[in-house]
Amino acid sequence: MIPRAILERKVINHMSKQGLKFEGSNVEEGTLRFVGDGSTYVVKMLDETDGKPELISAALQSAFWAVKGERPYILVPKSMASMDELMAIRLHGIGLLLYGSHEIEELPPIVKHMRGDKKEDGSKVSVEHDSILHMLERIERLERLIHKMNEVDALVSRLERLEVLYGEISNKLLALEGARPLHIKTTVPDMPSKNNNPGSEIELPSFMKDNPWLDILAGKG
Amino acid sequence: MYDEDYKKRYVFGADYGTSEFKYGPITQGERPLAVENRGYFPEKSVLSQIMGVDREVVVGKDVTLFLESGAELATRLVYPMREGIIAKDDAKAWKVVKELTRYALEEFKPKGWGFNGFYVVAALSAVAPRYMYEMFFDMFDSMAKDAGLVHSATIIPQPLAVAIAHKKTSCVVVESGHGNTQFAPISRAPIRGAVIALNRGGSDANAIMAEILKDAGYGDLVAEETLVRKVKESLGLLPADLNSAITFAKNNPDAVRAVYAVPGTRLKIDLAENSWARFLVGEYVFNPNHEIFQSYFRRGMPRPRDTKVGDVVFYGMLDMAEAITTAVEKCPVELQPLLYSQILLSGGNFSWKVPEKLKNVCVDSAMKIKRMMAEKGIENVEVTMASEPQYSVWRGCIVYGYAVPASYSWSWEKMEGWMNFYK
Repeated sequence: MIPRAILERKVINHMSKQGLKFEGSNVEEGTLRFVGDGSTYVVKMLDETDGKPELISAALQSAFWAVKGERPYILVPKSMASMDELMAIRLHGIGLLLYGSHEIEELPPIVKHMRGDKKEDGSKVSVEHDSILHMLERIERLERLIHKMNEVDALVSRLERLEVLYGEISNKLLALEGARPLHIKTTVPDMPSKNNNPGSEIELPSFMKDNPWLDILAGKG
Repeated sequence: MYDEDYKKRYVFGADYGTSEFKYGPITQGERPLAVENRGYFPEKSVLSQIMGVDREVVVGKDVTLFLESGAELATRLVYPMREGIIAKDDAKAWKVVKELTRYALEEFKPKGWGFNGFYVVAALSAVAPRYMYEMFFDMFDSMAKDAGLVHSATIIPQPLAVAIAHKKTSCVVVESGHGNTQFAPISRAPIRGAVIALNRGGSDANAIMAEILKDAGYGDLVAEETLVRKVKESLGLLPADLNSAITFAKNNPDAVRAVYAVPGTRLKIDLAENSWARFLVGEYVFNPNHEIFQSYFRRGMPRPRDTKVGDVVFYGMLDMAEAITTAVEKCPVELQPLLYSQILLSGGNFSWKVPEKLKNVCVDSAMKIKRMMAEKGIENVEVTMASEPQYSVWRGCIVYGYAVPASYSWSWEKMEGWMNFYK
């Protein structure tokens, strides 16, 4: 078992590296206090001899500190609780400092993001880095899709303008044909090809050539 | 001009024949595509497994996949145009027609921008009642809304389409299909009040062919309608005069004997001593009044009966020459000689072969009609067989759609013009 004094030193070293200043300890409570970033950090220490009841008690006490606006952490031996249990504690805004035979490993509190989620002093709450990256990716994807939709809209507008233009040109051609001298014959209209390609021409089917019904039917209406 | 140009590119002909549905756009060239005019209503689970889709009715070539279940075939396989007319409340038949139409239009729907639906010209029987026109237009409307397949549609009588395809502006078109035969005088437009219809067509020739097969010992095959039709087309003969032909057959049994080998099978159908009956098949189509047919009626073969659909009477036993004269005599007297001089026969029911060794006793359909008309004292008759009659209606549809202006709106009074669905 690691002696409490060594544990305290390890915690103070770790928190100092994070830019926090050691304020003092409370032996009765088993806590260490630090200040920094305009906040007070309280670390509740548990030994390897402590069990689940002590962990629950520490979590409840820490939650109380969190409500008060302090930033609670619990120092726990790595072997004490499962990751699920530790995750549940973190979800209540409590950070964890895990210790074993080597260095202390910090698991920051998981902050639920709510609209207007700000501390009373105006500082922003911490947001998990992975969540931010994920959100950014989604926003970029949306931006790409919107860009593509804009391109399609532009193409549709262009096609509609071309259609109108084609209609106008056709009407002008019709007007010109109206003024055409009788001795100039009309041409056979384009026939679509077998693959419906409107650009190419093929010969009229035999049943249409010299068919007297073409004139009779064209005069309908 | 724009509409006109567009229309000429996307005219689509649809011939709703009693036996086959022929379809295709103007780009198809000389011949349409054809599928049997029928649909199969499979059990949903079977359909899902085989087709991978959830369609209520299967049409086109896929129908063949379902024909193994003989017991239920009659109820599940629906031929919607059996008599050229679909009853208003025959929901299954309408579903088949709609699915066939969708199947045909989607097959040719071009990809990409610029396509606003086909200009569909549908050809129906000359005796199709008005409600069929209304229901077809409703069907095209839904296809325009649901899938953009139809821009505009029009419906024309099949005999008019035949006359157009054969470039005849004044004539009597005799269109004989599977279920009935229509006699339609035409003079630059159908003379609707003069149309005569017979309740007799290729199916009746099939019926007597089936009786002949039973007599020859092939009764187990007569339930297969397609097979009976093929035997009829191969072995059936049209006699110049039935009595003379039967006498010839009795005296020359080997000359009339023929064997039909069913393609792709080991089955050979030999009529043997019943080969003389081959002449009955053709004769029955043209004139079922010979006393020899009475024995078939007595044994249970249904006699073609007069029926009335809407205002139209379908005559059962009228012979073809009588039907032609009845139709022509409903037209102005001045026009009648012109109509007699241009009788146009169309439809698969007129495709009778004349074997070389039987050319003294057999005739083709044109000669048969000419002889029958002469017997009634009508001379100066010219009868023409439509070339490739199975395609005539579709070809007429294409010419009609190509020529009638897009701006000519449908008129219920004249029963012509375009019903526009493109918004």
